[in-house]
Amino acid sequence: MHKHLVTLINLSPVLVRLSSNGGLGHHKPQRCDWLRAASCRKNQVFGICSTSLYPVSAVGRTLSRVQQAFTWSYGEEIKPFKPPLNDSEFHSYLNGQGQLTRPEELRLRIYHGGVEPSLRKVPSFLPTERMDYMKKKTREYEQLKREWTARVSHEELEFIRGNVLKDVLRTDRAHPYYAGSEDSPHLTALTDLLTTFAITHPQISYCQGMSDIASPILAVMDNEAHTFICFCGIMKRLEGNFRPDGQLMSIKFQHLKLLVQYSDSEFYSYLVSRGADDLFFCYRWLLLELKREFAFNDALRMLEVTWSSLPPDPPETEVELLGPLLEGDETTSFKDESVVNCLKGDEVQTEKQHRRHMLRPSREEPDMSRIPITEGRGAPTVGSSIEIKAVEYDTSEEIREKSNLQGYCCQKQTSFGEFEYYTAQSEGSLDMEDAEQPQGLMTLELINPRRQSTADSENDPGERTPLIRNCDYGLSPVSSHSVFTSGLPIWKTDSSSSPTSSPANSSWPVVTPDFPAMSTSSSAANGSETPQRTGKKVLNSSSPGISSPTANSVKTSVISPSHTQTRSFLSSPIQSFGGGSSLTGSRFSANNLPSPGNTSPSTKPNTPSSLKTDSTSTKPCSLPPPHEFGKGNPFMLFLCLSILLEHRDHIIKNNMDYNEIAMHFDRLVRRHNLSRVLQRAKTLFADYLQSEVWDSEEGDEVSSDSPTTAAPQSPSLTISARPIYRPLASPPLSPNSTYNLATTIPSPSAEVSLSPVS
Amino acid sequence: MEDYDYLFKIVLIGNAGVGKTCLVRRFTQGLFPPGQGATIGVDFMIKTVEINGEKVKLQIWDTAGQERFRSITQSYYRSANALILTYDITCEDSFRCLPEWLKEIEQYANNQVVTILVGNKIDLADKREVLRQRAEDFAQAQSMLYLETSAKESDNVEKLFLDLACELIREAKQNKLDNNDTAPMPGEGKTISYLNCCSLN
Repeated sequence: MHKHLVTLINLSPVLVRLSSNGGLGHHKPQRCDWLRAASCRKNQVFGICSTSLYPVSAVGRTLSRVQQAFTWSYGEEIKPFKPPLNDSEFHSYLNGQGQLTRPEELRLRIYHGGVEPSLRKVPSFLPTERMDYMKKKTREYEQLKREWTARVSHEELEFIRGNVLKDVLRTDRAHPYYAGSEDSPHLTALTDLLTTFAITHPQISYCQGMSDIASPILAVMDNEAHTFICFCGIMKRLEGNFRPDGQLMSIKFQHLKLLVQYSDSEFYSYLVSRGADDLFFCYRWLLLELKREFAFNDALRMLEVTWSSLPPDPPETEVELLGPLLEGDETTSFKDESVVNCLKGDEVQTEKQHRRHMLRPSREEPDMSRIPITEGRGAPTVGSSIEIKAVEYDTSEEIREKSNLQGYCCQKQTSFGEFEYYTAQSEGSLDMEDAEQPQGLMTLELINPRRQSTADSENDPGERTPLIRNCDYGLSPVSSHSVFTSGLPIWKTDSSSSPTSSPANSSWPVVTPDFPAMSTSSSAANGSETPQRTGKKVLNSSSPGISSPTANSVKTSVISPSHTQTRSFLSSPIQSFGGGSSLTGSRFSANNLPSPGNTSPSTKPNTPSSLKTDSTSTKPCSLPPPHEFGKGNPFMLFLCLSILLEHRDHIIKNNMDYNEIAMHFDRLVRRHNLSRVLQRAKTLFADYLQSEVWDSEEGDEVSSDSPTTAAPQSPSLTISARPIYRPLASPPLSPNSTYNLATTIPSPSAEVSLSPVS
Repeated sequence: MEDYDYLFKIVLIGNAGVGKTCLVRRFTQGLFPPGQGATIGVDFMIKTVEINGEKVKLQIWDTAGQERFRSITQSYYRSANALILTYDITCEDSFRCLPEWLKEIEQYANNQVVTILVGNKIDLADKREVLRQRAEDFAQAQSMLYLETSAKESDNVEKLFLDLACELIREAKQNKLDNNDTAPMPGEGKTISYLNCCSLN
């Protein structure tokens, strides 16, 4: 049995490399998330940042392997579901030493059929090395558990535990593992491990929904410590979901929205017409990665299939069981007195509470004096001033601190105002995203040099260096850049309290001297062209030359060695000087060029004047690339899409409004048909991967960089016979350069459609 | 064309685990589903009731209690005609958080919203931590209606929603008189544009 773990742990990446969120590193050990946390490869260092420096050549190789895998798996027709992997079949993937010989095939196999339940669990015996590791981590966990009271006050512990327990007592209680008495050791184990996590990860603490994520793991593992280890591994990817600033969720919403828009424009238009295009009714889906949408056992299957599609993202050495401390606890984090002074006593108090992500009772008896009948309205203003103040203290040491502050500010505002700052065109800040620690907008602005590159053609590599350092904070060029490219429909914002945008705007000049450039770039999204965008205009004007050499070079670059070059460029800002401007520029054009009027890929591309496309209009678009799409879990987006499409006819036929749609899906909690959803999702996902319809910054990059790049890439022209672009659907497509180039190819464009099978 | 005379949006808020979802399920479905997962985000339910011969459609938005989801739930406050602020009578903490919730309401709800304070779980009388009188005093000081309920035993649950509906109808009619039809009125199925709460006071 021990071989199972060994092999799963040593699964190496093929299938799943595509969706790597920063995981363009290679030859990492790969495993299911069930076992993700159990991995320890001391001899291999796979830092988040280090992946960005990964040799160029490997990237293209991986992608092509990935494509092969999916091509192989789908070919002309969709293969029927396979039965779950059973023990004997599993052994066929092993060699005599119990090592996995065909890891990528195994992953693919799991992707297609899941595994039998008996294969899910960590085996009870392991080779010595693994056994030692698990023992070590178990001891580590036990130690952390003993340190509860050393880390937090008794009162705090009670508070956290109370919150956890409240949810544990209502998590999957219908499942035999958790059924019965509230004294059940299983419930205690779940409570304890979640409490431990909250205490050891003060920046995240406990959030509702975590019990849903831990519950299936415990039910499978039946071992508290092992579950904790796995949970830590999974939370590394998902913790952003639970952060109070909601930025990661915002991006995921945006991606799902794009996908729906892209795949089924009719349904999307319907949703828009009913005001339901915010897709907020999918909140739980995204937050819990659909765990609660399926019956428990179906959810296990769904999870393992999903996990088999994930990019490898092993820990550097071993699973970190301890999260970063809450920096500068409580008010001490406000080192700047003026900031502190901005906060009235009450606000400081509130801020503490917000930072904990949990509402704590006030000490005092509720009475009239505690009721801030009037003072509450000042909050956004206070928030704004904090933001602006924060800008003035731009040292890297304070970044995290400010991000806390910012998180607070964002939260104090409302709802999803910050959504508007994100576009789904987020480019691959491959090196950044693993951290998945969303930052406040301002912080992003402050420390992200790439935004400068939007306007400046010259980038000092030296200035970029801090980016790498900031990886730890999950600061992503994506976000900061996209702040200025709101070429996508804007999310609902709360006009009554939208300090999100105004402070951000007002602070630009403070943040950086190139504010004017950025500001114009921003306005360019709304139609005005600026001198700063000259470079982009060059790009744009070259793009229309569908059959021009430039275009060809772009097209081929997607799959040629040059592609890998640009990949590595993407993943390593340090290496990207000189290319940054064109990259962002091209992205810019990709964001803004699309207009509803130019729906066909064969349509002559827009001239720069099409930049005047209203940023809020519904427009065709491309999709983010797999490593970006869904922020680490692109397949889940396709599961969500599939669920939506399963019901789209019903929804449209019954003319459901926003609430009715929400209720419709609420009624389907734990009741979705997994087989149908999986089948459809896999088909759509394969179409997406094969079509390479995602944003190709690489292509844009190359073309804009220099037309001469076409020459060195000429060998790849042979490959170009392969379809690079196939529209996922009939809906309007954005005529960015990728698409334009695609039209030079003997068009396979009608082959695949994402349209729902009705 | 819709078959109702009034449409009201009711939003339930309050700490996690005080029984918001159970109140809603009890009212809309007649169920008390224990072991249901914590609400993530916002759930929606609709129930149409008849009051004095008038059909009243109640759109009930059941929100997640935890602070983490506040950013989402807040966005639903503004269009609410009524808020059901719920606490757990067996949980002192949930009562002590009420001022925080009122602050939320003050900040995000429209200023005409009808707020009712509900102490839930009276079936657990022996575990009561918040005396009724204390809660009543608090509610009165805040100009809130007050009611104690048990979603489990179905105590006062119907009454809660029906009383609220009556109050909303009364306000709607009053509003109509006051405004002489010059302003859009809650409860008529129209889009209601409230004054921006944050620009007031």
